[in-house]
Amino acid sequence: MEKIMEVNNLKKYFTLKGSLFSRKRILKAVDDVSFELYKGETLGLVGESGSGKSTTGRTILRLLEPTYGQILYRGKDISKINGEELRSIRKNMQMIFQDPYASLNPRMTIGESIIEPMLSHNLLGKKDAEERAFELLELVGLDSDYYYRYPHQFSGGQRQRIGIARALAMNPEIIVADEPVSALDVSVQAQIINLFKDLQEKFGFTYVFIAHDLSVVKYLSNRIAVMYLGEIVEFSTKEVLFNEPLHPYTIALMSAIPVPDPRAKDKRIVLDGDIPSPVNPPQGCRFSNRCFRKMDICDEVHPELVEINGHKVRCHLYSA
Amino acid sequence: MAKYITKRILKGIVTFLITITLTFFIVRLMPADPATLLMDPRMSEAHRQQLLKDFGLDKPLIVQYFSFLRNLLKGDLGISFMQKRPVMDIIMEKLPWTLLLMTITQFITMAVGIPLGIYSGHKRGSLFDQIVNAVAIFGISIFVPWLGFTLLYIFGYNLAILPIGGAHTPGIDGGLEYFLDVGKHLILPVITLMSIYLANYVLYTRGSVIDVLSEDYIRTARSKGMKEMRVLWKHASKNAMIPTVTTAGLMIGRMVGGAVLTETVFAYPGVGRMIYQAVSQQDFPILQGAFIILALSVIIMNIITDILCAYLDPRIKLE
Repeated sequence: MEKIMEVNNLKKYFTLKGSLFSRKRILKAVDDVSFELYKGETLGLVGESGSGKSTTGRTILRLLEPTYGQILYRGKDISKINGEELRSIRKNMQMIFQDPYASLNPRMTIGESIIEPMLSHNLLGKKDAEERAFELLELVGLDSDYYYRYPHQFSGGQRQRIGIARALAMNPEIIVADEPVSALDVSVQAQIINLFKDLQEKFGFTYVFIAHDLSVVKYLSNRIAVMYLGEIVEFSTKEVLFNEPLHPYTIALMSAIPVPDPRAKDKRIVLDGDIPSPVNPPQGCRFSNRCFRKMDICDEVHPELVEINGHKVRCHLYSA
Repeated sequence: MAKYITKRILKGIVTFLITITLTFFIVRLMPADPATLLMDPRMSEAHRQQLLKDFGLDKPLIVQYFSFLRNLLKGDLGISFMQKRPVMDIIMEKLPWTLLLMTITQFITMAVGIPLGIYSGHKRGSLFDQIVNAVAIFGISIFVPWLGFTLLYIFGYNLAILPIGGAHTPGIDGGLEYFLDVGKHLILPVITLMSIYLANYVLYTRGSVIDVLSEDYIRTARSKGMKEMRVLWKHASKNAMIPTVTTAGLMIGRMVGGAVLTETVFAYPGVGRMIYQAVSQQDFPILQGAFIILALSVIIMNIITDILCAYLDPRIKLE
């Protein structure tokens, strides 16, 4: 398969301004994340709130400045480009946001929002751009008349369809979808997820699909990276990950997926406590304070990501 | 849209009725008796009664109220105690000067303040932003008469390049000379007023731009690969204008009230100075007239502002 993106040792640190009584602190939102992206695949990024999955998604699209690391798009490092060069690469990579309402300009009609990038990147003339906007609206299952309406006149599911149409406008190669369905009703979620799938089959888009809902990710992804406190803790193909999860965190997450069978035995593993602060992560393994299989070494030594038959895991249980 | 405007105008009329009613009764609550103020103390009690009767002040309050309304409808605001002339005439003499002064001030302040606020908000925390903020806060905190007198002292007295008061030089009328003369008289009052109004525009616009720039749709615009200047002027500024428009509407509405302190310092023959004089002379009809005109103007500007906001923000329901 063709590799279109390679992310190497990506770090994104935020500096929290010190107040009168505290020093400046560093929040390590993404800490040393590496992965590759192949054409036409869907890479799932899963994790709790605060695991750095959204930050990873935004940083690889350069909506955030990476602190360290390489982002190779078709062999070219885009982690440091700026200005015109960055703008021109943006049309190849689009993002679909979690809140479809807030991410649409309330003063622009749907059509204006969709054609704006086509005009500004000089891809099409006004007439052709409009024509394409009508097609896009129909493609995502909306009426082309919606072109003239404003975002507030739509329901959540419709807005997300608009968000998708907007992202497709420039025919991007990579689409990063940042929790695109978590704000929607479950019935609407299914429709939108199917839309994602159909569009990929039709146009061969490459998705980075960010979600905290494992069942959604399972349905769409080819490969899944599980993130915890800014790190990838497990990374494998969907089948392998769901059949034999290795990391205790992944095992706990899997056990939390609701099973649509009322008689199924509840074997849920409940993790104690919350995800620790990324300002002050635990010394050794970052998951150690909540792990149900914790060993002595976990407090001391930070585990490396090791590979076992193509299945990557960051846990001392497997490092020997 | 038409329905929204009609509804808004009807609301405005109700507000106006309430305002003039309040104005009427507040003025009547004042401790001074108009007849005593109006007449010479050497006049007899019979004269006093006659005067009260002439002005209709012997009738019950409610009757007076309705005749007040009737006169108001005819554009009659009563007669000034001191000048013994119709209040309407006096106000109409002063209003053009005040409107001239205030329109120019507002126009310059908006033209300077809004772009300054937008850019400042965009460059939040930069040296430029800090300087703009400091100047704006300084301007709004300064004591107006002090600034006025200082400017007068420097430009009117020391350098003697600008007139020290009034709105025009008597004797010059007509032609370019008159135009320039009026302009010269405006410079110092406009500068003084700008120091107060500029901060309003700069700070409101700046704050609102900062808010808007953190909105998701700004991130979307950036992700679409829009140029930063387009993000700022097309996506952010237009959305950020709503608080600024509201503020501008309020300030423009109050414009006809003039600027009491500034007009007084510069002996500018506007509504503000008229109010100042009416207060010191207890000339109630003038005050009452000024309040009513002011209320009317504020109400009309509010209606215009609301309609403008509905246009600016399609989310405001036009019902």
